[in-house]
Amino acid sequence: MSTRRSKSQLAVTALAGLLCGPLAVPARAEMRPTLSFTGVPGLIDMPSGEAMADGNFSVAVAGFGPITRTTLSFQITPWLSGSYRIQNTRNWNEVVNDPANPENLYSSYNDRSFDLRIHLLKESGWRPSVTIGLQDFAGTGKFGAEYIAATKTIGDRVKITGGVGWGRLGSYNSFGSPFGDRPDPDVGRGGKPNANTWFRGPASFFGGIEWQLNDAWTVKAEYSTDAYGEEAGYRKTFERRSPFNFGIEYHRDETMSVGIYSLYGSEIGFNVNFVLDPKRRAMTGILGAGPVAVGQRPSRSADPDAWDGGWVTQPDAAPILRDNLDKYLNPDGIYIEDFAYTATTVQIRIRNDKFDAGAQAIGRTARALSHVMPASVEVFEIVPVVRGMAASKVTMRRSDIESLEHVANNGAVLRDRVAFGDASGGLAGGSGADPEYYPQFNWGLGLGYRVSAPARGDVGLRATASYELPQGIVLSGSVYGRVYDNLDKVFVIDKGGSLPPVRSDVRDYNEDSPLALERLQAAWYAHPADNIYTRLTFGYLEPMHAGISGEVLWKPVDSRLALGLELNYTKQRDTDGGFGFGDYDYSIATGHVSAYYDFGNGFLGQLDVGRYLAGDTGATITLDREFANGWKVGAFASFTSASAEEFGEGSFDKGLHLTIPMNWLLGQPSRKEMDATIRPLQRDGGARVDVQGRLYDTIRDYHTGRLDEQWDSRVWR
Amino acid sequence: MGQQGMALKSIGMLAVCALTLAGCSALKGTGAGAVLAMFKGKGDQPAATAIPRAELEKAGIPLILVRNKTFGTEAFVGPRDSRGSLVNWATADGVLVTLRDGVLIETRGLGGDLMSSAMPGIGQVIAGGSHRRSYFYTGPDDRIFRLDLTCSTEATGSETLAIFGLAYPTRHLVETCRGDGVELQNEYWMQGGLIRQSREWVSPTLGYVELTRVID
Repeated sequence: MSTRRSKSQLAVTALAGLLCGPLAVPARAEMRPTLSFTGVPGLIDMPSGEAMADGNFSVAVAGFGPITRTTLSFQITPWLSGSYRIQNTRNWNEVVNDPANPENLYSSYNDRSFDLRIHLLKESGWRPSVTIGLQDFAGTGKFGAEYIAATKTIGDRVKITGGVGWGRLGSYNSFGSPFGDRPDPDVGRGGKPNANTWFRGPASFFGGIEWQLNDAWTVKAEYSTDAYGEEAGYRKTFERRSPFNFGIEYHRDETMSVGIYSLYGSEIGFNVNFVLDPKRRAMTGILGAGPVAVGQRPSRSADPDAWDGGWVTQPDAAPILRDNLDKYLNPDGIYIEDFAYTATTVQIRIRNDKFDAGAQAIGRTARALSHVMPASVEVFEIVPVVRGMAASKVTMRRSDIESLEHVANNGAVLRDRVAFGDASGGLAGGSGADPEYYPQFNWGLGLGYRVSAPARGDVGLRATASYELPQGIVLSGSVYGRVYDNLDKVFVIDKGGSLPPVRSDVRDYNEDSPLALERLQAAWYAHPADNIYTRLTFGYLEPMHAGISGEVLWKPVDSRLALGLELNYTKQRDTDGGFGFGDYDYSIATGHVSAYYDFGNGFLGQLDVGRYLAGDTGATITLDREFANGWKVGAFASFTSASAEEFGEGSFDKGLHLTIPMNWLLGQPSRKEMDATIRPLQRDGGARVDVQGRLYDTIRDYHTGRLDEQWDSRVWR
Repeated sequence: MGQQGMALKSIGMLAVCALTLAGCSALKGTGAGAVLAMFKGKGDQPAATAIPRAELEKAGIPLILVRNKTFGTEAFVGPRDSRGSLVNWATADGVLVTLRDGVLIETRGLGGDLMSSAMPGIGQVIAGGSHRRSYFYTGPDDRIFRLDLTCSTEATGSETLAIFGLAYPTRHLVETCRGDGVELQNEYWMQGGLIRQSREWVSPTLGYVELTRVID
């Protein structure tokens, strides 16, 4: 029996006060946190000491005068949160006249910043909540600030916040420099943490008050210590007349709020926030039709003939059984890839096209087998197959399925009696998939977008198609047709860098290809030996490079660790999105050794070491947080031999990744997902071939790390 | 306001798969199928209570009306299959309510479902003495949450229920359950040994679900 890796999923809840209505946001003594203009828990322009609920994801769009900010924040753990922000300031170079400063070429300036907030203390009793924040901790430092903020709830309607700020937050009315002078940030090309500046330089006290009038309306007032020295003082984009800000907000519910404010005595501002809790489903819960009841065998004494194993010799037993199984499985989007049996054991290899949770497909298959298989068959081996690869083998006893159907906590009880193993190689005695299933042709048409620079790019239609043959061969492609673009508004400034332009010509690639063949490839997947999976992909692998990509992955079904090796040989494609290679005479062999580690509780790490497209060598580290329902938020950074000078602005490749599963939005079963990768800058260092269908994510869904996250609540659904 | 459980939004009459999958298609031609065609989910659904009893009887099968105030949903369910005293009641869309010995023990497709439980039989509820309930429901991040309660029942007298034009004399029982800082009250209206109507708590997301036996 393979033991479950993560601790039991059972949680005992304190439900006081939750009985009258839908499950509320986790019961806290204090009021819910509201977001500031900087997109973090705070007042108006100042931060507060609070933290969002664990796993919450927020988008805040705020603006006043010439300034607009868009911030994405994620509460990575209950005590750590990160933010990514773009601030756009208009009229940037209207009054200044210094040609030596390259910034003055912009009439509207985009500044990107990353924040980290550490929630030191939770509020309780007399204790306030306390947070240390690092704002724009890596970057050009324009937005840089550090602070310690504390917030206390008075009664159940008023919150008072006070704090000390450095950097931008210490630029107005400071009381001194408790930790010495603030050196200029070691900016270089930006992108590196400016640790030598943290908590240095002038500091000021800031504060404010938040008063919740009722469930929907909140009033805020604050004293802001951000002098806006550059925006208001030097560049005079707006006038900062007063440090006092006021505002009123409407909170429709926990997920959305809108506010209007008076800022700095001279401007009117707005703030729109969306807060998503990936743990709470958008549609009440997991919907979809319930399962059939488990088929119960007659007792041996009542019907001993039914238990006879002689049926195995019947030559037409297999087609009859498969047909009957199809009647149960196909309406659930489950298809038989292979099927073999003895008098006591059956192995069924299934393809799950509909359920987002592998555990639910496994449970439904067990129910179908319980109805169809003759009574002598006691052992069920259920093997989920992805792209022709048998991802795992789940072994369970029919007697357990029959007896546990309506037992309390049956998900966890069944898990203890189920064994997980590997299922490499073919199935002896099996006759393969129904010839009607293959080839499988799927296509889709949807809206798409391409980004050339922050907030610049195009939108259009993307057509995708895939043609799947048996034995793990998949032909696929996608074509993009531009409908609308704002590329001509991009103001190009040489961002430096001397690497081959394997990625940085993205603007040319987008501009030159109103119709682009993004991908056209043939992939072959195999599972040749225990725990070893392989992939070979050939063709136009991505919009900028074409060639061949091969991968080997070692991943036992119940292991936290997986190891992989990938080797690619690619040529850089023309910018017109066509079939040619004449524009760049550039081909390169790249490759990585990868280690994947599942830390449990949904935290995944990945380390890739190798050679990248521009010829630089180094490593990429990725950290993701995945939720049971399929939401995934992650960040990555690459450190390579391309020195900061060679890389250009940004110093190293970094970004965020977000996956939203369709079934979270809709509730109904679906395996579709929306994926987005956000990079502050697309430069040439640390660039990997963007080949789709890599092995780790392809087979993970049916290994215990992921299955266990969903098993208890899904296997009997 | 709040999100509607999509599966229950329509007052669907049910395609009752009373026996097996084969039985399902056989029923399409009968009264149940015909009424199903009349009430297929589109905008202007009449309130469930506006449907005349005669229409419901045409279906030819027992019917329970399931109502949930939290999401404002209403649906009729019919018996899909049974094993001993356990009966699965289902709508046309496959939304499932499982009753054992008349008491609700599981739901599927309502959102925030009760995945499994340890519940008393109706005999134990009526007897009045102290008994226990354990709920295992789906909560945030698709995890199973557990709630253990200790319950006792009180008879509060007789009540006559008017259900779709017929009157039923019943005894009203209130079962009070406490535990884990929680208190809830399930109600049963007994007509002899039959539960004519009940109001039972399912999960924090759903709250209470009301089951009314309309057609026997």
